[in-house]
Amino acid sequence: MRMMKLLIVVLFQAACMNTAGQMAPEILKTDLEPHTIYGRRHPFKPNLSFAEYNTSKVRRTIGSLLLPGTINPLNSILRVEGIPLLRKERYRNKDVFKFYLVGKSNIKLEVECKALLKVREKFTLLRKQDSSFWGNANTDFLMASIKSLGETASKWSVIASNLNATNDEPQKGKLISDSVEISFELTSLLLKDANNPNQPEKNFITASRVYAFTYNGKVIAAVSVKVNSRKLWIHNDLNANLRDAIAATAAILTIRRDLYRL
Amino acid sequence: MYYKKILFTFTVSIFLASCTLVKLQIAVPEKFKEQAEMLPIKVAGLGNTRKPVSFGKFTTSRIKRGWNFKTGLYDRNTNVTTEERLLRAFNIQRGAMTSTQKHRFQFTFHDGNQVAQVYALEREVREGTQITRNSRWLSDIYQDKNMQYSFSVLIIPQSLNQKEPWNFVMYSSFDWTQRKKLFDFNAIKEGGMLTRGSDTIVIKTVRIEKTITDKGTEHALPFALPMAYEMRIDDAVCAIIDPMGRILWLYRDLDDELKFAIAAVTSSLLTRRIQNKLG
Repeated sequence: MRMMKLLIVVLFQAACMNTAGQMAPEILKTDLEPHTIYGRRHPFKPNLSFAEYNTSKVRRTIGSLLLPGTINPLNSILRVEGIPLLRKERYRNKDVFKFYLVGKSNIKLEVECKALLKVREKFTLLRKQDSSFWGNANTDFLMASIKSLGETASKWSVIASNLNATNDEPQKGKLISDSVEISFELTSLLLKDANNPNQPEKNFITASRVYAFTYNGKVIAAVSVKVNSRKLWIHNDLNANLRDAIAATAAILTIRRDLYRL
Repeated sequence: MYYKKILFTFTVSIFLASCTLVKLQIAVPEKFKEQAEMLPIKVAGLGNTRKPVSFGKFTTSRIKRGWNFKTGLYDRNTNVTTEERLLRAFNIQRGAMTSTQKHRFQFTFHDGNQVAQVYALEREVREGTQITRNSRWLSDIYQDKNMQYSFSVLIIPQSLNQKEPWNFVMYSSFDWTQRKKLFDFNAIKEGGMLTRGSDTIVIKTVRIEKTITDKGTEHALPFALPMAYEMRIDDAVCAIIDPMGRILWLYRDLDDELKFAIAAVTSSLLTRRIQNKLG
């Protein structure tokens, strides 16, 4: 019973000293405008609409619709009672698609995208796993071009790597046009859930997993990673050229398919 | 040896938790105690009920709660774990599942002079793997990987002399890829802030690594234990919230508006439903 009366006094001062060392960097709070991304919930609505943008004529190649896995008879043979002795994953999947993005001032952008995933993974039961087991030998990249069809013939190139999360490398990419470079990376941000001046009680801030777009060291836009809760957050003061390019990239990141077979 | 330590700590923690007479107390620095007022908080049950909260001159109305709903859907995978790679080698079916839980609540908060309407939203998003086992004897398993929790509060003053609302946000995010060992707190990003215009108060979870018994024996814990929240303006602590002891330590020299906002945040923190615990 004496043990029951034990009184624990916690050293608050010691904890205060330790907290600073333990704290990981804070999640950034941003002031971007939220826009819900609608569309592509079912095959009869293949286009997206968000903010002042709409996509049209989303077309995929036939090769992109077929996503074969590994065809290796040894994977079935080298099994004892369902336990694999050796398993090799070797396949290539691609996603090639094209669409048009129309803005508010009738700016039309032509977007072409090609994503390629080459998987080279190996599992051996009785040996130490090599780096290919953790996906280090995989190739995963995405390339896209964004062309303006209007009077201002601007052209942007998009490159990204590891968007299918096949290894522990960061999932990131870049948008490049002449001297302008915008980078994006998967991260967590504190973002506005809604921005309604008439109903301030609904303007909450929540933490979301997004691809955050950074320009000159400042987060200027973000797009949801998850398909089920899609939103684009973008800064209102951006110039039209940057805004169009980011909107097109957000559409690419939303329309792209998962090429990695879990 | 490390795992033995963890096992020992767990056993002790479970024993202590089962003993109702054990009292956990935070040793607040004497210097801060002299300059602060101690406000014992009256909360019904675990705080997740509809009953009002009161402390000092501050009182809430009855808590009006919305639906506490959770949705889970198959979604994009954001990282592949070693366990998932092994399961694939063994040809076991898996799927990337994302579940979202939301809860809204609101109440009126007053201290006799000031009145504010408080709106709060809790949102927790968990990413995990749904492992399907084709056996009628074994059920499916769900394993968590990543988590994002955010708690957002809007304090809208109803008085004529107060204009701008206070905005409070607290977050906690766990990323599996950042975890290097068991109980690795570096994989957790957490923090929070209370803002209004240029005024910013930072809130931090205080984690404890040492304990002292009533006999004065000092014990080091193998992992840091979340115990309290501290609120800071620049480098100075202005309030300490002790949810276990149900006490708010509030710095005396703060202006009434700030005291009111901190008290409103404390009430909303103690009436959460999804994460009705520390950390």
